[in-house]
Amino acid sequence: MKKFCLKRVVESVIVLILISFFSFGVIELAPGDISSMYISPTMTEEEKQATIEKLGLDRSMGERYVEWFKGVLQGDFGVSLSNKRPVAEQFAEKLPATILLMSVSLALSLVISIPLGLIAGLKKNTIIDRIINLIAYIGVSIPSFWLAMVMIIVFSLKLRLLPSSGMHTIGVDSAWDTIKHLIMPAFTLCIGNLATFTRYIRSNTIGQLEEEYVLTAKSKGTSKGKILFRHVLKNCLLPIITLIGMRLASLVVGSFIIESIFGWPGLGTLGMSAIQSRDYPMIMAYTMLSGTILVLGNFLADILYAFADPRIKQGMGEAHGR
Amino acid sequence: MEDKAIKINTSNVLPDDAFEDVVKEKQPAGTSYDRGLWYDICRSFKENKVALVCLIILIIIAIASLLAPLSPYDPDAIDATQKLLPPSKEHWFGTDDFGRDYFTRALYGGRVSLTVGLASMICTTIIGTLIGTFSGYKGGKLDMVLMRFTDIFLALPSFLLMVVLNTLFSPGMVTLIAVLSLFSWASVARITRAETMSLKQKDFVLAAKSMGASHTEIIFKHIIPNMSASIIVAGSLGVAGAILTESSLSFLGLGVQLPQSSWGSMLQLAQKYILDRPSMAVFPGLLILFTVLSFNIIGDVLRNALEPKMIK
Amino acid sequence: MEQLLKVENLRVSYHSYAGEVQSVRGVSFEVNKGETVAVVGESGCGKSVTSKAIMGLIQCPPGEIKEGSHIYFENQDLLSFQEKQWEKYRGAECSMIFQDALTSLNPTMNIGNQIIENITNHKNVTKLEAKKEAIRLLELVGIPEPAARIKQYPHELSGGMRQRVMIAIALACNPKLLIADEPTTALDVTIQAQIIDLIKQLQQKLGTSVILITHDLGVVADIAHRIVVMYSGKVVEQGSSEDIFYRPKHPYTWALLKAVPRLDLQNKQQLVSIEGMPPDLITPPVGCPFAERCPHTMKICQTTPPPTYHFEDGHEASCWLHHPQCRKENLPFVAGGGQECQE
Repeated sequence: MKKFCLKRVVESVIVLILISFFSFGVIELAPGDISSMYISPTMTEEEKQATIEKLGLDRSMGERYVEWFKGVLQGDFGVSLSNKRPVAEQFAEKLPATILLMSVSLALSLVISIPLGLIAGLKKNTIIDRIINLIAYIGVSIPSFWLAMVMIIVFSLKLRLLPSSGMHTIGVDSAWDTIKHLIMPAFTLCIGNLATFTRYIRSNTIGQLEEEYVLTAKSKGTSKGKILFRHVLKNCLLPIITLIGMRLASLVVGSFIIESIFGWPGLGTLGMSAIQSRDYPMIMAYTMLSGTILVLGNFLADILYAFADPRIKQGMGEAHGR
Repeated sequence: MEDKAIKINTSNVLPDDAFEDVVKEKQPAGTSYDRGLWYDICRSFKENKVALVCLIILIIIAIASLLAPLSPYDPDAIDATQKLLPPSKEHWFGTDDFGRDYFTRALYGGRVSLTVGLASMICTTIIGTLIGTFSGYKGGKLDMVLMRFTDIFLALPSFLLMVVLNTLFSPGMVTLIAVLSLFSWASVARITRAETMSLKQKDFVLAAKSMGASHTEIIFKHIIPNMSASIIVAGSLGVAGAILTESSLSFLGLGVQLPQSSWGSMLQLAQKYILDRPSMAVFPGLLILFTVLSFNIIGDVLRNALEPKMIK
Repeated sequence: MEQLLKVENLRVSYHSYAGEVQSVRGVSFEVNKGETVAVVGESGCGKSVTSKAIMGLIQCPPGEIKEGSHIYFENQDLLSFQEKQWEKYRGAECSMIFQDALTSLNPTMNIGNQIIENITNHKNVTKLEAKKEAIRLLELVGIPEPAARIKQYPHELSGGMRQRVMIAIALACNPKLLIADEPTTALDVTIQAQIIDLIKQLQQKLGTSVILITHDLGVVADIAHRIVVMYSGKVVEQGSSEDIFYRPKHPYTWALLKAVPRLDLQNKQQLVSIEGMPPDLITPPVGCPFAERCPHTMKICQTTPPPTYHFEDGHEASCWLHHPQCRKENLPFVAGGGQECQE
């Protein structure tokens, strides 16, 4: 177990370092001179020189990378170009809203997809299965930003049921108000995962029902319901843990687009505005942070899965040479 | 058994020659049920009506995009008097904020979206197949390094990096295709590597090797053709993914630049006018949805149809 | 001897893409109380399907049990059972051991709970009593330290141990009939003998009837009282163990016997392999199914299915060679002398 964890830690760290190379390198390689962002034509030659020195642009790329990375390790991502505030501070402000949106969306996709997938798997090749399947296909094929637009048109403009943007109505501070603001972003964000999970659970249910242990359970006189809940369900849902880890990327990316459409005051909106204004320290921090969320998510999912499945736990025990 | 009626059968005397020996012809050993890839693909479309409908939708969209120049309107002609018209007989999808015919623009947008989707799929498949096959065929340390590399590419927050790359380099068709291919070859490489690993153990590859075929010959003549089923499936699903990603990038204004348009960038514009002309958001979105949906369904149908082949 | 199970004219088909596969085509045999019957045949001959039909485990669709099939268990026709009756019957009256214990046990449930499940399904006992019973059963099937093992998962046990656990599960409610479907195929040869021994011992101790399904005649030699030989969905020969081993009446049985490696062969006889493949069950041959591979094929074999000939003591075989008009010589077994049976 220890060995397995250690291996995953090393792997994760390598991926993170590569992401940091990438986050840093892309900006360096970008056409155009970074210093031009800081230097105004009105500056004197000495002032310009001072700015360049302050930014460290007179030093080599490697040196600057090390400097930047040292800062990152201490939680210092530099200062934003547009409003001159520390990047880390701004991210910390926006993080809770994004985490709220992501977790609600993830929970929503699980709550809906598990029963849908199970029903479709159990009723394989019936009308219900076909309908669920079609919904799932549409779910993976629909551009989430377009769904967001359609929902705004329908629920905000036509029906006037839900607010189209923001997290709170100004002057109102109730949970219900936040929930109303949350419904559309959370739903549009979850649609891709919802569809992926549903399809996965469906095919897994079908696969598990064909497993021989189901026959054994049946030959013990176990009823259909008990077979489903006592045997199939656990084996069917265990791999979902890994899948969630893998699908975290879609949450991070999705929140990036969806948040800006709905004006959700989270990391995505912040990242989007950073990219639009070419606020390099912010962009670097944003890619770094998204990468970290992703890697951390995958890591946790793997460890969690290992604990939940007795087969893997034992395999790791052996690898450790107990 | 005792209770069964047992009687000696005398009434039913058989002709004596019935008990003569027969000379048996040797049957050819094992009939082959292998009818080729094309046969399987055609059969799956014949059997699955949904897949057929999807194929027809795709063909219609593709032909319409190809025939876009036949439209009486210039996609880029600005006409201030015809701004933001609702759908009508003259303008099927209405007009946009510059008075350009929205339907014509959607057709030209389809050209961009489909080109980007197909081209990046082709690049993705070629890169992925080459890396995957090479890695699987060579094995050993090289394989380990390449696969670690692939894993890392799979773990990257690729869409964000695409956004960053597209922001920093001048956006356009070529950038789009390059960036899309750069971040999607990894999954193809995984699939082809796994197949190569099993194919290279097969008798026909060993036979080719023993007859002195070179490594390149084995890879290109024996291994890659035998993975065509998986490659076709990965390709079909790949187009769907590429079109979807392209639309997202274009929606963020990181796709082809004006006056050119794609479905995604049309939606970017539509978002601006969502209050006045919500219908502008409907058509490009539906086109994306139908195209991606069709590619996804076809990919899955092919997967199911060709799966026994893959296992073999 | 009292009759426990009677399978009468069982016909089972599976509907597949390619067409209707007639897996079992009119199988009849009986099992008496306390008797071990071996069903022997190569893979795809319908022996597993027959056993699944007895357990009511055939999925319909794609499976279909044809009209006119009957399976009587203590004179009740199983095929008229409702789901609730099946649930009561499975595990309590009749239980089954499968080929591969690794895939047949739930990988994420410890073995104790898998045994307890069978007990609580049929008996009204507390969890603690069920657990005690499970430990006793594990001891019965020869698993050391049963109290500790009960918390282990299937993958933590060896293949032989897993198959013992399967037997413990099957015997949990003292069933009247135990069906063992190729219980030793997935095991090493030495473990095979142990498991067969265990089944034999338990059968004698508990008086259970056993249907042992196998493709290996060697396995059944010292455990089966009677043997049913199946080929391509039909029973080609059945009789007592001695009849089958020393007086085979069907060329297929004879060939099967020649294919078993034996230590007691006098002169250096070669092992015989049966040429060719069993027929396609989507379009089964009109005549004798074995005609294609039989070394003694006659014209009639290819056109008319052979009748069943009865010999002494319930020994019967379906082969034209026993027809009084047949004048064949140089047969490896004594032909004729049977009575043709018309059903």
